[in-house]
Amino acid sequence: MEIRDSQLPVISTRPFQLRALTILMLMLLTACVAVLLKPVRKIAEQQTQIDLATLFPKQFGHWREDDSQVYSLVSPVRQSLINKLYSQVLSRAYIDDEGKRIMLSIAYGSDQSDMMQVHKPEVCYSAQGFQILKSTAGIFNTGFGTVQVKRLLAVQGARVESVIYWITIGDTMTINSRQWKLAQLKYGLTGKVPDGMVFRISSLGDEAAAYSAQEDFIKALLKVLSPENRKRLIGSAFYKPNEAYE
Amino acid sequence: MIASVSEWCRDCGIKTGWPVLLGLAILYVPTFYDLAHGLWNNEEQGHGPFILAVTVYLFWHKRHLFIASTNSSNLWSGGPVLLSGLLFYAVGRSQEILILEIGSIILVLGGSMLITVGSDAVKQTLFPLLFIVFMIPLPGFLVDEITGPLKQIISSIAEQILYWAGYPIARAGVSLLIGKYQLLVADACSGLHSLFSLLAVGLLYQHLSAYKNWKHCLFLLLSIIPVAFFANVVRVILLVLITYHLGDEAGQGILHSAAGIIMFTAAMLVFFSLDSLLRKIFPEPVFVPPSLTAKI
Repeated sequence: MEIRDSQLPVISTRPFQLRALTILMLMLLTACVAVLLKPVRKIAEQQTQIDLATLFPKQFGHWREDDSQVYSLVSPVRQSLINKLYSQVLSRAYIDDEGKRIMLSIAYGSDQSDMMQVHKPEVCYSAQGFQILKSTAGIFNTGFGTVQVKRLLAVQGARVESVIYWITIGDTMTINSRQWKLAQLKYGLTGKVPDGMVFRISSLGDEAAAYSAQEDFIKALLKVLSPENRKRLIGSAFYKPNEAYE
Repeated sequence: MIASVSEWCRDCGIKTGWPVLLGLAILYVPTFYDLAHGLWNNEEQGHGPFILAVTVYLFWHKRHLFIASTNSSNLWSGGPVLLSGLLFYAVGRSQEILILEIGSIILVLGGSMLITVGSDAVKQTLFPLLFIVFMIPLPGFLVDEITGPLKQIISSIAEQILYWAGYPIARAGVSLLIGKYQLLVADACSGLHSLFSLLAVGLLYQHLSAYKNWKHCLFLLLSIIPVAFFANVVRVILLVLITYHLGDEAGQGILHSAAGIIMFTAAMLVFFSLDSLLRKIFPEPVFVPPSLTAKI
């Protein structure tokens, strides 16, 4: 009687124990797989280090840096997030021979993981009190390949700002956050950590004039950059060498 | 001594279930360690530890379900659930996709329970299992998508009300002009995260009170979102008035954070009063279930 009593639970729990141990094994295996899958190779570290301040020349074509007046540039990221998200931020104003003004704003991150997702200019502008009146996706021929661009018309009181931007990730670029996420995942699952850049230029005043000045600015800028930096700016997947400027 | 330990073990099923608990610890202690050193320090995700504590407590409360029994396990439904959970974990943890990493807890836990103690245990712990959802941070694109319009609506309503009240107020987008002050309705003012927290607290309250009258439950459930929304409108109006009457420093200083806490409490009070009102309208059945002691 005594023996049967103590044996009974042992027999009845054996399949349970076996299942619990199998689950433990599966969990251990998963934990190891998760550690092994973690991307560690930073793409940024395999390239020459980027330095935004020197990558963008202070003078090119008929554009030159304009430090004659103080611009109130919309911060490329929410202030509190700058240090957390981006390894480098560059804000600079340019003026051309005819007096047209352009504001350049670049945010570059060498490590773009989920917690560090890029912040779309839409979000930055609305967070800083602008209303986005128009938001259109388009394509733009840079002269070194055709890229997708997003154009915004942001208004705050009397200030009307036309914005054009795109976002790179690794060797590709996008204007769509879901595509961006997918590209990031594709890198991640092959063990790579991609870098990323928000390329944004904006100008005040008449919309049509602003966009034509901006396109002129981008084309002129790409012409003077090295092929390597051009690829970095528009994503090497979209880059097409232009015979005239190699 | 030995008898008392085994008594205790029989009570919680740890004698046979320890491998599953150990596995869960191996998988998720690193996850919670990372959360505690990262996301949870963020003001917007501060409710995370609270959700975790509540979930653990609710499972502990149901520990009698985890005693080994042979006649109730669902290997064929539990297997796929567990495996998909483990897949989510591997991808989520390695790629830092929190929605997968935290979401996997539900599947891994649910799957393990199905395999070992069966579907009945899963049914009885469905609430704490699904409560884990509140630990998942809202995906960034969703926050961006909702925050903007929510801010617009809130600033518009605040403007309307203050205008009726006779204040010199004007609005451009999400910036409010009152007197000599210009106030920006910030992202945090959208109240999206306080809404999320209120929803969690409201659901927990409803679960614990275990009402039998479904109309009561439904009304209470539907009231959470409007209550949270209007609490936030009142908070924004309060801050505008503080700034207008007491100056800019007052509006940005300690009163700013105080207004948030006060409004959260006020929203809870409104919710509870609504609950007692609903209790009068939809009375509970007089029958007292024998399992009442099993509820809290």
